[in-house]
Amino acid sequence: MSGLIYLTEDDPEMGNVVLSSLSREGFKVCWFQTGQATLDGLRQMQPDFCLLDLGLPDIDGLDLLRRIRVDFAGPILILSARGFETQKVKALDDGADDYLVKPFGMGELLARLRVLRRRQQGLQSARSEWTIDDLVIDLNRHSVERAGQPIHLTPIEFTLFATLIRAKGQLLTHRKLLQAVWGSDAVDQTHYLRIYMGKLRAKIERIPAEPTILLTETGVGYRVCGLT
Amino acid sequence: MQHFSLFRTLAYKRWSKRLGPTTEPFGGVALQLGVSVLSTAFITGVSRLFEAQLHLPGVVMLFFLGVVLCAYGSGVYASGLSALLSVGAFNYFFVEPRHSLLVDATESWLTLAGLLFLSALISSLTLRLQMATQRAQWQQSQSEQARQLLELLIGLDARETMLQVAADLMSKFLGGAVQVLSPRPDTTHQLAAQGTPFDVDHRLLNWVLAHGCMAGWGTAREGHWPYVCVPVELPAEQACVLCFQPHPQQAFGMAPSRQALLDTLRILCQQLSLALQRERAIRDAREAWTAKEQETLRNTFLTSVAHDLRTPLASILAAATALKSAQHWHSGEHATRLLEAIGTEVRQMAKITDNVLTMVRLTERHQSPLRADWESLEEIIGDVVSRHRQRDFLHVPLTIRTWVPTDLPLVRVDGPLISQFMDNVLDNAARHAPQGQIDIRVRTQGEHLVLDVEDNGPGFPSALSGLLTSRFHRGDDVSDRRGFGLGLTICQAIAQAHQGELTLAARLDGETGARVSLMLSFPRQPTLQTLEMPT
Repeated sequence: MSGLIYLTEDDPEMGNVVLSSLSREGFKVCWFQTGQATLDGLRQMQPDFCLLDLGLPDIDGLDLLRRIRVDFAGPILILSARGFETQKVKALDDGADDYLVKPFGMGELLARLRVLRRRQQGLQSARSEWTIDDLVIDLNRHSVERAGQPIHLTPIEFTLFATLIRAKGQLLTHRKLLQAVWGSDAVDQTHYLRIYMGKLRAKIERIPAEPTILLTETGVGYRVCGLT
Repeated sequence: MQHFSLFRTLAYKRWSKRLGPTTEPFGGVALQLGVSVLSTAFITGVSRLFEAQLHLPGVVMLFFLGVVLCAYGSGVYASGLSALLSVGAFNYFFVEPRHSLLVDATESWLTLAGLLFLSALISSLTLRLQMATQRAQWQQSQSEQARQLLELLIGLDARETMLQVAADLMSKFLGGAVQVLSPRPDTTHQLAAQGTPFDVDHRLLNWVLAHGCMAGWGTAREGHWPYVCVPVELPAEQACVLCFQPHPQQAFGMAPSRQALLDTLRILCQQLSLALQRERAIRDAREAWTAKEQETLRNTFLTSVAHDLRTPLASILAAATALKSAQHWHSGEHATRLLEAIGTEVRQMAKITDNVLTMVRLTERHQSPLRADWESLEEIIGDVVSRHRQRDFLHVPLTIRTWVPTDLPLVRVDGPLISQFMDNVLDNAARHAPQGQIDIRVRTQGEHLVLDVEDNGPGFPSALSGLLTSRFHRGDDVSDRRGFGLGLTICQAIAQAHQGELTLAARLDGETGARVSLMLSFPRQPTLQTLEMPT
């Protein structure tokens, strides 16, 4: 993999390890130790990815995230020791594409970067046909088939599934999903999601209690897995 | 305590029904005068009819009897008028010359004077007797009310309820409106009230609090106000004053005098004050005990965390020093194993840190530890199981089987906490099950959902179930295996935060193995009516 990465991390040990590991993988890494330096760097050049630590000495991490999002449309991955789900949800709702809780392995970081890159490339193509294992989904025709057999989804179930597919594996928070499917008035009605995800899982998954396609991150949101 | 309080409250309600509305002991002045006129007319008529049989002394005795009855039955005005009318009627109808108020004989003068004097004397004595009887009855009633109040307040433990009960009782017994107020620098906060609301002067309240004595109606201080204020509690943060306004038409209610009413009010307020002090003392003692328990808990918690962290730290240090000191002769495979061990231990430490953070959140006293939402247990189980399957826990391949009904109702829980509960239980099961086989089952039991996690390990020691309440318990295997102390404590705290029940037991199918069960109640399900079509 290659590309320019902006790494914002105030801890020298952590910064050094991430910098050297990513450089060995072929990335060009610019390491900033403050939020202000990151903002200055963004004015000079746009990177391919931003890796952002939320605990910075000069600017609150979430505030910095919102300010970066104003000028930067590419993928932002949060690397943070703040592991509570509410903080993850806040970061994802404020524009982050993914969230990795410290401590993490370098393999996990590289995997997340690969997913983000694929998603970034996929955004440029307007595909309507997708496959997940033996499932075939046509977003234009509103059809889902398994091994040639159609699976009937209600309009809401299909909208929900299509929203997750269009995110191409990105974790979508409850709020974002509710807004996309039921509108802004329903963003707090999480039971809508629970009920309809249960119905969708019963139709899509082979063993609903052990899902492999519609994955839950408890307290944060949902993502679809295995898209090709 | 709650049952006891309820019993007291019911007793209070029964009592207040029995008391009924307050009655007016003395009739109006007009009524008293009417009674005395009628009784004198009646006695005059009877005397005239039976004059021949009664003779003059008998007639005099009949008039005395009329005065006594009026004094006893009607009051001061009736007895006074009755005495005068009796003398007048006796003079007019029975003293020569008759049908005239003139008196001829000196003997008749003396008879009339004696009749007037004795009537006044009898009237006065009877009134005194009546007053003494009323005072005695009032004092007995007052003692009874004070006892009732104390008895009602003893069973209550909420300050607001105590104040309201006292306000109800005083309002009914004393016959007027009651308010319990707590003055603040800028406003006055009403804590309890009974009867017609009335405005209370803020300055008077502050004066009462500052001087600790009563003021207002009938007292030496600001006696012109239509209400009286009595201090109940004086500590600055809980200061409150009871204000009583007598009913305008009922004068002193059932009390024989204003002073008697004020004395009773003061006695009842003292009883209330004592009950509030007792309640505060109990609360303070309870808080002190809780603080002491928290302190002990914190120390035990830190010891437990230190122990749990020390073990992975030892492994990491051992692996790192082995890698550094003998790097040149280690084979690639050996080095990889050491590095994997470091990674596993770090993940274990991260898990301990998560547990510590959760424990801190759950024991935070000033905020609700739960962020409850509608959750699907199926989803949470799916999430946890998929995460556990992704790793080879302690190099033991896990076999996890799930039995989750398809029509499972939603539960109102904190999803991440239940997820952490399952993480801890699965970690423990994986650690103790030699074949790494774990069964997760969800079942309904009455109005509860039960989540069972069973393993095929050696099972829990029978003594462990009883130790669940003692926090940070770890098995007897501290020296050679990781304790379940912190994890079990977190599970117990999570269950308690959800008003759920954690059970450690044997497998349901009778096979060897341990079962950890979490019982949760499922509430009324959310409605589906607005879900039909997307916008």
